[in-house]
Amino acid sequence: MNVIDINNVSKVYHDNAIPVPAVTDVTLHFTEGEFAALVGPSGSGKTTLLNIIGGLDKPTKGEVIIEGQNVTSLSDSKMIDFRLQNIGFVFQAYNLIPVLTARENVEFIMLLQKRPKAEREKRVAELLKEVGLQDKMDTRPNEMSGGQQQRVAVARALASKPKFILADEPTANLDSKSAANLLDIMSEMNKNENITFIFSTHDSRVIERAHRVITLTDGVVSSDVLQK
Amino acid sequence: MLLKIAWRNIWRKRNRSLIIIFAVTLGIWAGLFICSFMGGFINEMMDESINHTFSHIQIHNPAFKGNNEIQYTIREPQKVLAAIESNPDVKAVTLRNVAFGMTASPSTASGTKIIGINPVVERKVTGFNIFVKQGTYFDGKTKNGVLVGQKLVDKLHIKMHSKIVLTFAGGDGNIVSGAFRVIGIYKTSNAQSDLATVFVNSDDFNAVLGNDTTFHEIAMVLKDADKVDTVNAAIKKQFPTLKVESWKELSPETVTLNDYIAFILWILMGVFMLGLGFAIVNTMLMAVMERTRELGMLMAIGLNKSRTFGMIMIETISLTFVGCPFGIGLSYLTVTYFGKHGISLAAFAKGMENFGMSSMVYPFLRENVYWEIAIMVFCTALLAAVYPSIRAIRLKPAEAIHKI
Repeated sequence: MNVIDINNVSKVYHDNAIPVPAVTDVTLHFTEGEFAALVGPSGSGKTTLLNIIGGLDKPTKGEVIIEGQNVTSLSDSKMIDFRLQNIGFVFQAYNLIPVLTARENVEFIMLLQKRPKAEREKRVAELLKEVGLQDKMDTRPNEMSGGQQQRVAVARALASKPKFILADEPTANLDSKSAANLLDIMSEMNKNENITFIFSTHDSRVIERAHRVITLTDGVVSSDVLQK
Repeated sequence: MLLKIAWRNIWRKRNRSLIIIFAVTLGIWAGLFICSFMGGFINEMMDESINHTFSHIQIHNPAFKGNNEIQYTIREPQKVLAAIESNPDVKAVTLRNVAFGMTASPSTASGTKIIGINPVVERKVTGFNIFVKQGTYFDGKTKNGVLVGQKLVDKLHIKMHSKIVLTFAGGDGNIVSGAFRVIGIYKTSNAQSDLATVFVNSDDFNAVLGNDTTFHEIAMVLKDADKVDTVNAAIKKQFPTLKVESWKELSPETVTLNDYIAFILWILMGVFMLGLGFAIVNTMLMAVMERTRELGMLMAIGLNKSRTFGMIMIETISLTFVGCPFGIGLSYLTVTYFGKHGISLAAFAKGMENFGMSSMVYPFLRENVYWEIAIMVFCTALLAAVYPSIRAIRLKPAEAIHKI
């Protein structure tokens, strides 16, 4: 069953009234439990496509359907609510809330979802344990390493129980050990909880671990390969 | 959680926040202290003109008010006096004689207002006795004693116990005069009044006139000064043939000055709040710009626009309100201290006396002014928070996240 359908999506930016195509006529379908990587050189349209899937940007043409819901037609406010309930994000620069502890960062999204306190506390503890940070629960981001911060970001992305997680170059700022550790965690979650992961990356370590590699070249899907 | 984030964000840039908190504290203190200073100034002025000169309400024969001629007396003054004494809102009331004439010393003369008072009751009405700096207030023993202002003493080249002659037009139009001895020299903060007014015992005044029951003025003070308009209206109704006037009618310039100062204070507070508002907008705008990526991330993961707006509003108001209690507390301490000990404006004493003002100012603030200022600061913070909050919700998450 498809979780995400991307139908003929194009995105054109305008630089001083000059049209700059970022993504051109992309059609892709993702099924539940995929561990897919969008790859390509800088400027190939990976992040743009990821932003469009996540509803952070609207396509100039085409549509994105997530579990039967055409998200390209949603208003900004409805899209924010849709993201809150259905999509988890992991960013390249971790993007944790610096004034909150690891526990609070993970809990925050569940507060936005208005989950009961007991459920929040239980899930925060579980998730931080899963990412190996049970001893860093009350630590603020500036007291953690990049790898630890990114693991908190993964825990936060999972906290809302999303349908899928979009990760924009999640290992770009990590050393080999931290990147491998992070990929192990995400791989485990994909395997155990059947969560769909879509990465934008040009990190070979991620590409090696992905089950499906979609290559973008100048905004066009140039290959779509399944890997073992 | 939004409150927690907002509060902790305030302390992310500790120095910048402290500057704003300091600015709020200083702004509130300056605003309140200036208000209290002007309040004290107004109080002094009112005290001078109401308590020691006009009293709260005066009654005259309507014709007397027109041309100040001595024959226009109050008919049946004791009856009017008794009626007013029975008014529960009246604290004290007195009868006075008033004549405009000449005060002459052996060397020179000066035009003066001669007021005949009941020394015992006058103490309760205007407390004029406190201004006697040399000699004594009427002691009831000395016949034809007169209290003369220091300025007039200088002008007439007289001193204590000097003999002077008071001359004024009698009821029949003839000139009458009497010799009086200086028993006391007074000095108020109103130099013009000191130069142009002498006080005698009303019995002595009436003796010069050859009439025992002539009175031109009834002056009263109220238990509650705020009731002046109500009581004035009631007495007007009670004595329709007499001219009843409150101090506001007797001294419209005092009312105008009072209103003018209050108006200036509001403008001043407006300027303070405007300055404060711009400082807050500037700080919060910087905070929003610095946290573009963070805000973009929050919006990406599901913080909707109203919550984003609310978060920045809460942060701005919290930042402002940290300084508010310090400002109010500091103001309270300063106003209380100077309200007790006063601020000396001795350097400007001469000029101020010409305007009938004291050279000591005792800052004064009504308690509700503290609340009014706190509300003004809150409103300023609320308004100042709007623009940075709008800037925050206008961010595009996709662009904001990648902002370096």
